[in-house]
Amino acid sequence: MALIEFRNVSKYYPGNITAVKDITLTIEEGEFVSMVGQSGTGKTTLIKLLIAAEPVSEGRILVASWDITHIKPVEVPILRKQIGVVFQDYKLILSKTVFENVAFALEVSNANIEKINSIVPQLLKIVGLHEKSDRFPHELSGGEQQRVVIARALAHRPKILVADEPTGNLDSINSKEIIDLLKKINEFGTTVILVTHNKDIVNELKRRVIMIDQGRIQSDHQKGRYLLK
Amino acid sequence: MLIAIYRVFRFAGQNFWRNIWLSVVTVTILTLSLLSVAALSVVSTLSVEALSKLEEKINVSVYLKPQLKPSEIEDVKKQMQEIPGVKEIVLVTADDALQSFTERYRDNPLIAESLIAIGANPLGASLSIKAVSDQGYKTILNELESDKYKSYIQEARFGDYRRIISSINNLTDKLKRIGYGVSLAFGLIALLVVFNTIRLNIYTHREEIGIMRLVGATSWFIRAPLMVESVMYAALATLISALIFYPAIHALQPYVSSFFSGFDFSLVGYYAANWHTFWPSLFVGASLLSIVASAVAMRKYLKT
Repeated sequence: MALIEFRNVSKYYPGNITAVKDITLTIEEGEFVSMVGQSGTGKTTLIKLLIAAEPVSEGRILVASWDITHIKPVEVPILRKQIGVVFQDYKLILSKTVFENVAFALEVSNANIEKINSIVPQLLKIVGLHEKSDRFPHELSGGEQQRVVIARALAHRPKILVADEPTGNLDSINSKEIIDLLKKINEFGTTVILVTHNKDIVNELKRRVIMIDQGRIQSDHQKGRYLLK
Repeated sequence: MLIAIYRVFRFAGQNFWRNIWLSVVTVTILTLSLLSVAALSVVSTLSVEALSKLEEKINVSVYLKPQLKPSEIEDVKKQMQEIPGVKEIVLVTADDALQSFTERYRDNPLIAESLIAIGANPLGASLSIKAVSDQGYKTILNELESDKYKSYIQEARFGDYRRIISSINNLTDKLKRIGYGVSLAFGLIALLVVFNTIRLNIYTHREEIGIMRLVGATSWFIRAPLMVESVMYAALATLISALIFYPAIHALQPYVSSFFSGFDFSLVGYYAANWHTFWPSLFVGASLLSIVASAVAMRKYLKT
């Protein structure tokens, strides 16, 4: 059964701007999908539509058979607990420590203190930051900050992990570490959607590649490569 | 539920301490606004007090005909007591009037000789009437001019009194209008300053709010700590304002005493007696204003 379905989805912005046009695709549970394309082709718009950060102009989106096309504002937090999101610019709360940033994702769903104290150290161990749990984000490197974000994204044990240019601000060593972490998370059963324009990363992964160009799907290959035009 | 409330207060406390400079600026601006309102209250209290003291000084003196017998004088006094708006009537007998007159002019031999030449007490008794309020004098003056009292009253300079009382009434009305105008202007300025300070505070939290939404926080979970933080700002600003206010009015007291010479009015005493209504009102006002400003500012960032 498809975990994510985009059915003829389009998104228009004021001023007759078409961000994505007539997108139809399905992503199965447990897949690792790379969404590639040059900057401004609509990759991030698709992610925003998926996490209900933007309303859909046309078409329908289903997540685990739940039609989120016209999702109510009160339902958005429920959706966001099912989709972990990692962004290029980390989006950490700067006034909270590493532990508190990860714990916050659990606190918003009223998790009790015992549960938090058991889950957060485990997550920090997975991303290799258990010894830096008292640090504030500004005391960490870019790669470490991104790993905190991944730990936070996994706090709710989401079915889907979306990583939008997670290596965009990182050097090659840190980028490799992050991609390895994403592969590990996928091996545990989480569906991973990686949005990137990094050719080397995509080609090394040898997983499904969806190429977006000018808001449309250009190609979709199960063991694809990112071929620059 | 309890754990959610605990977290709201913990996050509010963390926000306050970890953004200490932002908190200091917000509390400072709130304190200055509260002190402006408190200063306005002092001006208003002083003007109301000054006017009421001035009104206390006014009375209508009615000079009665010298030939009236003491029993007739008592009757007139009783009748006048019935006039609506009369607070009290003090009788100055003919003897008292003569004694006060001779004392006042004891250095003037011409007046003393004149009194000896007349032989008898030329002065009559008089009644000093005080009204309940400034409006009471109008009724009293109208009543005294009626035919009922014509045979008893020798002289009453009603016209002069009318002018004085009307001037005081005019002054009171003008001062009240100016007071309302100044209060409104100050209130609006304080309102705008506080509103924008809180908006700025929320603006600095905008990314954090976006991140909270991203990890699945409900609007309530984001709003509540920031609201509690706003109340913390208001509480601290009220406390600091009170700590500055009392020494300030204590320093002002000698000037107030010299202004109210002859009257006993303590500004410190007044605000010490009314602290339980004055400061809670300021705190509630500042809290409501901060909460509304936070809520309005946050709406924008809670949309996605």
